[in-house]
Amino acid sequence: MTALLRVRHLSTSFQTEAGLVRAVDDVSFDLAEGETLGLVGESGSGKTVTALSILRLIPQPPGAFGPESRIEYDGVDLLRLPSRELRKVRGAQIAMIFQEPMSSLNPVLTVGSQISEAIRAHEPVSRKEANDRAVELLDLVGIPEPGRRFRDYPHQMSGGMQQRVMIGMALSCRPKILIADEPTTALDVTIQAQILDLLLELKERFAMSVLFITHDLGVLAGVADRVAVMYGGSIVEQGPVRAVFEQPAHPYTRGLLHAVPRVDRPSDRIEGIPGSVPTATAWPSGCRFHPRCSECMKRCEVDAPPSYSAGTDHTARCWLLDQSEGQRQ
Amino acid sequence: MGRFVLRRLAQSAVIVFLVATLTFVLLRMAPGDPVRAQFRDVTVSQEVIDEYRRSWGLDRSMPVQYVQYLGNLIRGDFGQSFSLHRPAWDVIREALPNTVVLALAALGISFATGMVLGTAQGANPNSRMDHTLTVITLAVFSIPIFWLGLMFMLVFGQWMGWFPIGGEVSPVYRGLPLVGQLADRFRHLVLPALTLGLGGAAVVARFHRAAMAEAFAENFIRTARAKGLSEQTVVLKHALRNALLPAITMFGLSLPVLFSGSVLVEYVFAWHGMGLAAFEAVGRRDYNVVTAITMIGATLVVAGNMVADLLYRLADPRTAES
Ligand SMILES: Nc1ncnc2c1ncn2[C@@H]1O[C@H](COP(=O)(O)OP(=O)(O)OP(=O)(O)O)[C@@H](O)[C@H]1O
Ligand SMILES: [Mg+2]
Repeated sequence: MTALLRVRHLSTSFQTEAGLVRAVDDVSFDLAEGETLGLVGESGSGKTVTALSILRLIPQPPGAFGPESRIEYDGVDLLRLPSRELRKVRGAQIAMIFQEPMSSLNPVLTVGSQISEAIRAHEPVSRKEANDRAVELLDLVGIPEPGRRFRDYPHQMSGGMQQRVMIGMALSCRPKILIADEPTTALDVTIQAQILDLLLELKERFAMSVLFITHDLGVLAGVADRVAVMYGGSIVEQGPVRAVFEQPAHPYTRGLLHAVPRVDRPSDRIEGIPGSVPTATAWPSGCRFHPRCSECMKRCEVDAPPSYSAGTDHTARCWLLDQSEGQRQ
Repeated sequence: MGRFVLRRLAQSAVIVFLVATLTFVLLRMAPGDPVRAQFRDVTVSQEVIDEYRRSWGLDRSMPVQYVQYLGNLIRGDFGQSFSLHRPAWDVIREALPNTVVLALAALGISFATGMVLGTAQGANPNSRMDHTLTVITLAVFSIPIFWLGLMFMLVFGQWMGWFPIGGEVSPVYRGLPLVGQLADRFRHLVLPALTLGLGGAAVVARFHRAAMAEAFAENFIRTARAKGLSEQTVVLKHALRNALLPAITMFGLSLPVLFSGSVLVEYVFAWHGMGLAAFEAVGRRDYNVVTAITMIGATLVVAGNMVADLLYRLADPRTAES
């Protein structure tokens, strides 16, 4: 499989009154054609900033990318693309759906016009044609009476419907890559499964690559091909979904897996990870996870671990891998 | 929507009634006798004064006067001007068009300039242009309106000689062809309209900048960019459409300010509008003219606010159908 999207050494920081916020620090990953990569991490670990950085949707200032950062799509570095060219990628090649569908839709425009405007931004079609296609898309994402719903304003729809509209909008130009940033977090539990099923079905149908962001590792088991675990602005472990679930190499991943209730390993209590996520203004020294790590060693407090191999196509940033099984990459 | 209009109409009627009552009370509480005010320089006998009081109905008791006053207002009868010896309504008929022209021109200047500046600033917050415009708009906002008027007169009227410094038309107006007459009126309008409009432009720019900045922080702006829309579409369609709602509110709020501001501007530029007429009528304790002007002004402001409310509800789909 060839990588469609290559993210290399992505660092995104924000200049704020509280100081420099290093929200994303040296993140690298590939997204292959047709692949679903699950990006998982606790709140504040930098998932959304990573996603927004890909389409350069980070406001600059206060945001800024590190000089090493590269985001290659189809061999072109999106971070250095002139904005006119970048616009042709946004929505048409790489589309995105967001955590909160309600606030992500413009309250004073009809949902239909918000979809057809996405089509007209990239294709030379008439307004009528774009509107017809928008109705088809509403139908595709499972909105009943799409012809009538076309003229609805966002507030007239439920959260689940709004997220369906967002999905329809994202698919309107048949993008190669869909970035889904916690698409079900803001929804009712019953609706979450429906939206997830819809996404999986459409991914197959449109043969898209998906970057699926979630804070729920459990969801990824049935969704992702590969998994990247984020902590404190960096990816601490990534690999094939089976390998990560069955042989987690990083203590943080192991902690997350313990926190996921599992049917096959009944236990009367769910172990969480003690402590809380550090803030991006002041990361801990050395390994950023060390204050919460049950296997913390002396060097973890001082030096940040490099990326070690933990199996085929499986890496983790942890000093534990230095002596035991892996060899330095 | 229909019920909303009915409710707002009822509210408006109550407001106009309260203004009428307040005007009645304040005028009669104010020092100075309306009859004596008409004979400022001449001595007249008490009999003459009593005769005037009787004919103007000022000899009756206050409650009787009040009931008569309300009855006349409801019939649209503003009575006679004490000082000008003709119907108060005539004074209005001459002054109102001048004020409306001036107010509309000022409103146009305020909103056209303010919205353009505010949009540009809000779309590029904290840029050098934004900071420069902030300083300029704050400076303009803090200039007293009469001083600004005098400066305009001095610079553009006296020194440059570009524009006339007072009145609505030149003495030669009647002899001009139609196009010349329009041009003459326009030249007379420029300085007073700028004086009255610039302060408003600064206010509109400040508020609209904030509204644009707020709209820009919304998540749907990110969605619009993620779709690949041009920055122009993001600003003019997505951000501006949302920032229009506060602008409509501001429009309603600016009407009273415009009316009170026009008193000063009309005085400075000898512009024969409602403000100048009010100023003279108050000086002469010309109750009926003051009342007529206040009532017309209040009605216009209330109506303008109602229009603004209606526009707001029409522009915001979240309230449109309720
Ligand atoms: N515009 C910004 N200005 C300053 N700091 C920011 C900005 N956007 C994000 N951050 C900071 O970057 C860090 C990472 O935030 P991010 O939104 O990427 O987290 P996340 O993993 O998506 O969390 P969640 O699960 O809550 O969505 C946070 O500390 C956040 O405060
Ligand atoms: Mg997030």
